[in-house]
Amino acid sequence: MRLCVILLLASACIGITDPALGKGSIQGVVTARAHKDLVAKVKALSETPEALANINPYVASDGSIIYTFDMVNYRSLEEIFVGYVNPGGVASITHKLKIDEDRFQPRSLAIATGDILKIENDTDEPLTFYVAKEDSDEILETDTIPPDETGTITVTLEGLLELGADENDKSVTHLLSLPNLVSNKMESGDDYKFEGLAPGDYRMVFWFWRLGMLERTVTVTPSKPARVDQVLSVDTMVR
Amino acid sequence: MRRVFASLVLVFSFAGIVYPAALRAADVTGTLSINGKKTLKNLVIYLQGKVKGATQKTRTKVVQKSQVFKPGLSVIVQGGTVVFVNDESQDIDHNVYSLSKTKKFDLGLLSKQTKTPISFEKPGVVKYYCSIHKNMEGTIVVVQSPYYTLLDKPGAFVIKNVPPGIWTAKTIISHKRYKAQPVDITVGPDPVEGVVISVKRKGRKRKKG
Repeated sequence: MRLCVILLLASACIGITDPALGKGSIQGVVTARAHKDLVAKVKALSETPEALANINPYVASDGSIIYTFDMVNYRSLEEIFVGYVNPGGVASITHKLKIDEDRFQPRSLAIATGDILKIENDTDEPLTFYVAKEDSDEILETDTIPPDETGTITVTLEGLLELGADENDKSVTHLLSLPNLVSNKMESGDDYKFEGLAPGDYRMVFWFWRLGMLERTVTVTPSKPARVDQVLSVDTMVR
Repeated sequence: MRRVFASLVLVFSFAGIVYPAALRAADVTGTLSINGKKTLKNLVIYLQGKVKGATQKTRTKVVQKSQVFKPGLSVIVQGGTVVFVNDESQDIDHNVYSLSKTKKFDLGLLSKQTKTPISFEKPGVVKYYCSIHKNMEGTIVVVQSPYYTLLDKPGAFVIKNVPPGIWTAKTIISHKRYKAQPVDITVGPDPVEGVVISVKRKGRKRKKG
């Protein structure tokens, strides 16, 4: 104990500071859920004898939804992006993607504007990759990339974008590109945490490509973590 | 005669007058072509003009059956209505929602045998989904006049019974990589033939190899 105090005093005297001191954080839980009307209906049905006899395909006796393979499984949704805009700027990151005979992988990606996409052509045909923005004539593209080779695009467009291949219409990757975005890919019910943030107001973003983007403004202080729990659902996103 | 007709068209256009029956409608035919070998699907060509009385309220149906929206692409005229019909044989609920700029909506829970209408006042493209089933999605194209055609591939097209007037032929292409230049058309008493609509790839902003 005495040693600790001495060390602290010594650090203060020679100007060493803890980098975490004076910083704050944002944390919370992000959850996806089915449409509130479906949740209510399933709960009501679970209280009927017919539903308990398993006549309805997606009603569990405890009032929860039984997700079948053809449903959007909100309980284990894997493509939720949670992020914040860093006013201090971010370094460019390279993201690896690929397209095979079936589709692009991943299906969605949140990036900072200026990030680089490295796209592997895992098909048997030459492909020209492009990034396009809805309602805009602006296009970013690679040269034609032979099979088993990789093309790169620096994403200078902002907003909701689409990565596709000119010669293959089977699928696209949905992109969210925002300047200075720091983001993590989460699963429904996950805890998230962004640490080491300078005090101030931050623009937070929650995005699932099929539900769109939700924004929140949060104030970070050094005293305690800012908590933002967010539920994503059609009825919360479409207003 | 042709000059007199053109003058009448202009006079009526400026005055915003509904055309008299004597000025008959004509068909507009042409070709939509794409540079290169690319094959595009679902091309909507429509005529945009300022002719009064050229719009009409249309109603079309989209059926939800076997967990698919049918048809996957619908074209309606501005002000028209789409009726979503849950025609599942089993007790399966659906939902329809859209985040599009043209119209944002959530129709709630659509149970078996329900018919739910929604109207579209603004022109544009509306991509919609079912929030319950992951492979259910569709598109509604809202056009500004009843003079349109839907092509499943590039090639010849015909738009029937177009009233006399000055029109612009526009094309909506779902593939974001391509666009078509608008084409101005003057419709008179005779059919308009040989309209050429060229679809081109959008120019690149920046290239990285």
